[in-house]
Amino acid sequence: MKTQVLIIGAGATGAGIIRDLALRGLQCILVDKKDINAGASGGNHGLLHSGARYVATDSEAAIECADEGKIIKQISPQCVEATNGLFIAVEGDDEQYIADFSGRCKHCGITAKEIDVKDAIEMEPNISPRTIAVYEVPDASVDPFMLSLDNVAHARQLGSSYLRFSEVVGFDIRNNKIETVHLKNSQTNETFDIQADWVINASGSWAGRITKMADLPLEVLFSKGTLLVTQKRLSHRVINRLRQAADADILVPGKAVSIIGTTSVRISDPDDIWPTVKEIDSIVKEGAVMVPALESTRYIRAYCGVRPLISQPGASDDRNVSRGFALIDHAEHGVQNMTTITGGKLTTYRLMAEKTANMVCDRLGISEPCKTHITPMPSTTDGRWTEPGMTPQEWMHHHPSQDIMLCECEMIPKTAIDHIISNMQSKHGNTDLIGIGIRSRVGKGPCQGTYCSARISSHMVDRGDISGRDAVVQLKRFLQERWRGQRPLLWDNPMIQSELQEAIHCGFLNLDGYILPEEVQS
Amino acid sequence: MSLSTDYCDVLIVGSGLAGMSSTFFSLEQGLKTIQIGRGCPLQFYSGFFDIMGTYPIQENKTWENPWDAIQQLCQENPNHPYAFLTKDQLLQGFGSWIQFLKNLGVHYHYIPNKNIQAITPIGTQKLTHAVPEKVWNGINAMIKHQKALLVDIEGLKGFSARQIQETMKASWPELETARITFPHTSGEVFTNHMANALESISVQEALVELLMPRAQRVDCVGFPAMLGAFYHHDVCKNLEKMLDKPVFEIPTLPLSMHGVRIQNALTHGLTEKGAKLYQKIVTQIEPDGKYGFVVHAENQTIFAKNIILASGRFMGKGLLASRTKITEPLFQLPVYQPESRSEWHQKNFFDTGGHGIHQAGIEIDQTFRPIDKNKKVVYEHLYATGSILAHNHWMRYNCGSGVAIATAFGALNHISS
Repeated sequence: MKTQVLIIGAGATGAGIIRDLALRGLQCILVDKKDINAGASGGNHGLLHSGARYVATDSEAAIECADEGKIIKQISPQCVEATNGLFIAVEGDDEQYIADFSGRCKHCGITAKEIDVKDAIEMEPNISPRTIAVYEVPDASVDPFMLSLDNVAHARQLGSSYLRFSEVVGFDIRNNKIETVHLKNSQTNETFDIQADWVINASGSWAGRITKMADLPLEVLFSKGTLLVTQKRLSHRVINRLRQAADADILVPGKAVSIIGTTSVRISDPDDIWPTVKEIDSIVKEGAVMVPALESTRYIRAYCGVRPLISQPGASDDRNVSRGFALIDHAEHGVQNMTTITGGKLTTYRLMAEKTANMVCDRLGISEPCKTHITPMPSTTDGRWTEPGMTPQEWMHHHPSQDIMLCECEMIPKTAIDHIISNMQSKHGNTDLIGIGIRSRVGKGPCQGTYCSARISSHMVDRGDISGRDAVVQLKRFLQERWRGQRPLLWDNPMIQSELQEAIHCGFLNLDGYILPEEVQS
Repeated sequence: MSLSTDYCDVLIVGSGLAGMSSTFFSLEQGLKTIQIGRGCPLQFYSGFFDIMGTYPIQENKTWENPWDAIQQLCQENPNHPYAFLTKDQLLQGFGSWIQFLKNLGVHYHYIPNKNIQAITPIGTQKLTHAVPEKVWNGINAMIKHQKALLVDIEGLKGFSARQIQETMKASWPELETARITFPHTSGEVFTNHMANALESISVQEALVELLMPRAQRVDCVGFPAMLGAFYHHDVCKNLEKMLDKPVFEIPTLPLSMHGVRIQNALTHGLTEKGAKLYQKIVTQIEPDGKYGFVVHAENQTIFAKNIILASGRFMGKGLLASRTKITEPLFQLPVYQPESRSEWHQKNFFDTGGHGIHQAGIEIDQTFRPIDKNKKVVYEHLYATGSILAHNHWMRYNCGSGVAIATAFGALNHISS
């Protein structure tokens, strides 16, 4: 395979870059060892920052967020819910910080409107009765999966391609240039090569592993952040704690649910990450100071993401260093056609993509300017099923009479699954249950995939997408992946639900004890 | 609604397998028996009658002979509920339960001293001891490598004949599949609706019509569990006559018709036998010096000499989990449990060693009465049976049905002695 630019990593940054370059007329390939948003882009709040959170610590980042937030709302409104946000302080919070807040926002060009506490409680009845100060800012919530899926879909319309399950395993470097990139299909272990004029390393937390294969120096540190999803939406707006950034002080509504987080824990390996009971308990406790309902509400699942930190001496809190991004031209290290971009935040993904694309185009002698800040992003069918409540609406409007609901929690019919599968098949790699989960609400409802996982895998066998044997493997993988987020919050109803899940999948289907027979040739 | 008052020798709290079998053994002892439970949990039952399949679980060691497994288990785990009963008692308890079900029209098949590899709706196999007769027909056909036709239904989700065939290819290469549209349906279909419809001869005939001529070339024909509800036997008998060969069923994901049939049969059978079965929520229980216990439920007061707590685990709400601990809500009995929530569950959902929470529950002594930390009986007339018991580990040992029935048998022996 040959391409002008190979982009490694299909998170928000990589997805933003492929669209940016495609709009400038370049033909690119985007690869990921897993799938869309497998790293930090899929493990965050889904918050489109107004910038107000950074006004005290990093006014440059605050200004970037403010500008980018406006652009993203304009060019991709389908991915954004313009909720606005409140910053609230409760009794005992730092009064100096409160006093300085609106001035600092103004300095960064962010509108922060002071709200009377009584009015605020009327606007958001779930905030603490001990609230002492409230400001309203233009925060919004954004669907990171729809955002990346739509970016990639647009780039594909423009002639670029995306390969799922394609892991970079090595580089051939000659005369200070990467001539060939070796890849492996991570589902089948088959290897293949791509020749590219330029290689962009947008692999986030895995950026250091990629550069190591090219003998380039880059030290990446990892900070884990854990978040919790509630079953019900608890607020209309984003609720931020009005204080120096700390644990569990942002509650972001996303359609039917709310997300509270995060934590910041330094870890040594970005791969096998787990939300822990200790983290969950501290998030609930701390979050409840701001929104007391968090103490008693039902949680659906927990998840975590890893912030990649480019090692910088002197940074005291991971939360602060992680917000900036690093754009590295590796020419100075002896490789002429490779760029690494890492760090940053979801809100500034487009800007990161623009700066990276500018650098690459400059070096390739291409003078086309960036268009992503003015070109609307088409709403494609790739991203539409990620939105809670979207499938029921579609189904109610025009459902074929033969259609059946495969997932009742999130109302996902067979036709939607068929659509998602055909979409996945055009992007390399086998059809897989986890991939369907990324592209839809499957497994995200109260039953956490107990019924729909088995039904959908049966349906996939019926369609001939996978073998019966694969269905067992995929079912186990899917449930194990959901388990990661269920395990730390099994009390009250979720405990009952998980007991049912185990009774069905272990007690009845014997997925715990069953040993797969050797593959039989038909 | 007016308040009513009842008196009984034994009140059973819970209507799952442990509650139903406790009710049965109580009636067998000639005691005045009331059962009170929430909903119809047996509808979720697969119908598989597990006694003991896997031990030690860390090694995922499975046993052909359940009694050998029980023997080793009891030697190494003297606090497992099975350890409080002799093999003869277990045999007697299981035997009379299976006979009772047979009298109610639910026929089980088993091979003495043997476990069976049952077929699941995704084509995996699961170790159990006894299965409903028509489920056995399918397992038997697999063992004997018979040619069989497995039918699935357009619009029935979660059941794919092709999936079962593919997954079982190694052990049953002679299995073929056919997909049909169930007579007079379109779009989504459900097994309970089809089961009821199949009780009509004309629907049976229409179904057989659809299977011809393919069914003529095989030795037996299989279906998802849907061959009748109340008249399962007649439906199967008619189909077998028309097809001129045996039929078999594979259980579906819950609610499976096997659970529904057992629920119906037991509700009917135990009522006939003289028990009062209430579907209510117990709100409060007080010990009463004169009569044992006073039990309050909506619009009702029951005076009970003895209570059997068969309220199950978390699904049955016999145990409640909060963020910090597990409690038993009716008597506030001490609950054996791991020290903290971080030890409740393993990282691997499918861990063959099981989860810490599996050990949690109510500890009893050999009289089947709950005990406290000092091994002292908590209430003289309170007994506990089934999955609420600590250390029973039903999920990984494959012993759920067996423990329910054995402990019910054991508890009633003590009450009547």
